[in-house]
Amino acid sequence: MESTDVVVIGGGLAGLTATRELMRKGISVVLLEARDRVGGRTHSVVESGGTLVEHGGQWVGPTQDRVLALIDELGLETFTQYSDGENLQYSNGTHLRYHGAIPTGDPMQAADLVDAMVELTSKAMEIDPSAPWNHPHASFLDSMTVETWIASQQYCDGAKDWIRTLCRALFPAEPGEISLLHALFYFRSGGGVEKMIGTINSAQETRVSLGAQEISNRLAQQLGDRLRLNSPVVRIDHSDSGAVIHHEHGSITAKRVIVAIPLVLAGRIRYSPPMSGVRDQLTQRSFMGSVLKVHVVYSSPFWRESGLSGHITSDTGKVQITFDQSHPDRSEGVIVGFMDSHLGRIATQMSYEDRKAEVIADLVRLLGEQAANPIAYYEKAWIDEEYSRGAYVGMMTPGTWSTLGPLLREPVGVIHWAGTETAIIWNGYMDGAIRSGEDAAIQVSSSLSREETTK
Amino acid sequence: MSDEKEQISAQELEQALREYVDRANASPRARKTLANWTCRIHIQAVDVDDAVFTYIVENGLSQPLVLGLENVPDLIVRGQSFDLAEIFWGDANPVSNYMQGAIKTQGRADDVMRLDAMAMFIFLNQ
Repeated sequence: MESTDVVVIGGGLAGLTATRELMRKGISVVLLEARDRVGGRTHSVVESGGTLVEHGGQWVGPTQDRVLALIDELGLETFTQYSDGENLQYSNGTHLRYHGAIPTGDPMQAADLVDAMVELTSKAMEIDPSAPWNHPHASFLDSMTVETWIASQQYCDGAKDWIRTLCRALFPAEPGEISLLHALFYFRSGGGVEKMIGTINSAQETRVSLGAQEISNRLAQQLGDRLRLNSPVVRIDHSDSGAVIHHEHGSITAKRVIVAIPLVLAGRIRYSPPMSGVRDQLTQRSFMGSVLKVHVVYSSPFWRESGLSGHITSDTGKVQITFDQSHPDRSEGVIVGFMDSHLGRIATQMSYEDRKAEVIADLVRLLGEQAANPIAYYEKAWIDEEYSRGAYVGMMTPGTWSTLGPLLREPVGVIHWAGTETAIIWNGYMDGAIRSGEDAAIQVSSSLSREETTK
Repeated sequence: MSDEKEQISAQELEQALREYVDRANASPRARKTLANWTCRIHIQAVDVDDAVFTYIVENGLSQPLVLGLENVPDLIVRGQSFDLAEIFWGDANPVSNYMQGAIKTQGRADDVMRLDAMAMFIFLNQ
């Protein structure tokens, strides 16, 4: 049987980073990836017409230092997300134009939104992102959902609806599904709501010219035959002295294992001996966001001619968030749209033709008749992806952080955990994934060093 | 973009800031939302000599403007004089994509958010 120091499970950014860090330390390592590709929840495809389609994560922004450094190190070029012109808010059948992250068409509503952002950011900054359960009111905050919080506020209905849309876009989940403590942790982890929802000087500022997945592709090139694609892990037999990792094409023995996949998928691996009841309760209570991402391609970015940025929020239809996805090196115009949360789940149950027709109808309502005739349409339903089961990120239901949170990053014997869901900074983002991979590699190499010393 | 804009003198910027203090204190929404906020802010126009100010908020109340940089700040705000003046005059949306790129702010996220909120309430006449 093949033997190595460490097996890393999951070839997303966390697993790739962990593998590379261990390799650099001279530790023998094998990376097992279930899919026939690396990149996890980043998936960049150049379609036959030459259009770059970013099915998965795509943006990076300021303070995401690890991913920015990696992009630089790998020699990848970037470009700034198009944001010239005005954003559009479609609300109650009306098109309202505005600049920036907060719709200002209705001043009263805008003031309520500012109020909400101050409130959420202030509360978030009270959270220790490495231990949200230590907040003095952790149990209370964890006992309510984001929806409970929204409903208890005195904001106008329009502001409340926009916060709900924001919640669906950020996580993406229904406000009634997420623990308020989780949401606050997430905002804290990303440096505040304002940093997360905007474009310029925010999380949606920059894109990778060749696509975000190219970061993973280039990392993979450095791993050589340490990377094994098409190798879904089905069982881990583990003891104090090491583990045997069984995948669909064989088994490998290792001193340590890093499981760098979403919690919900980590919970589907069979462990022998089984995970403790509390660890399993944690993985039961983490759920993936629901999103169906669409690219609608036009011969030109026609919305720019009318002074629009392409960033739209809508209270109607299946597509309620869009951005201008056009590539600066290409002439076609591309709108990327998100069918988030429950709208995404409904959409996955429709036929492809009906769904496409509804997406285009949504864009016609938002951008006018010119949107009726796209030259191409692409989509990806992340909840249907066997090896993600959702995107962008895994979240906690109420009552989880405050009772089971300390188990999130705690190794179980020789098994360590990574993945963006375990990140303290920029949790849920590419940056968080890289940080978690680096942290896990340090943890594992220290453990191996200690074992060597005590021999 | 900013390079093509007119330069605002230190005196004009000072006047704009003094008016901003009055408007902030007259904004019911800012007074309510920022009631518990205390913050010392250093403001610097990068294209004008001597255009440096200390703006102090105590429990949501903006204090008389201090000329020069006084004590250790909680927040630092830097930008071209015209962009800063646009914000202080209440003419520009402080959270617009342009302003988010043009005005550089250093400090805790919640302080930055409150500062933006104050400017937004003034911009929105709330």
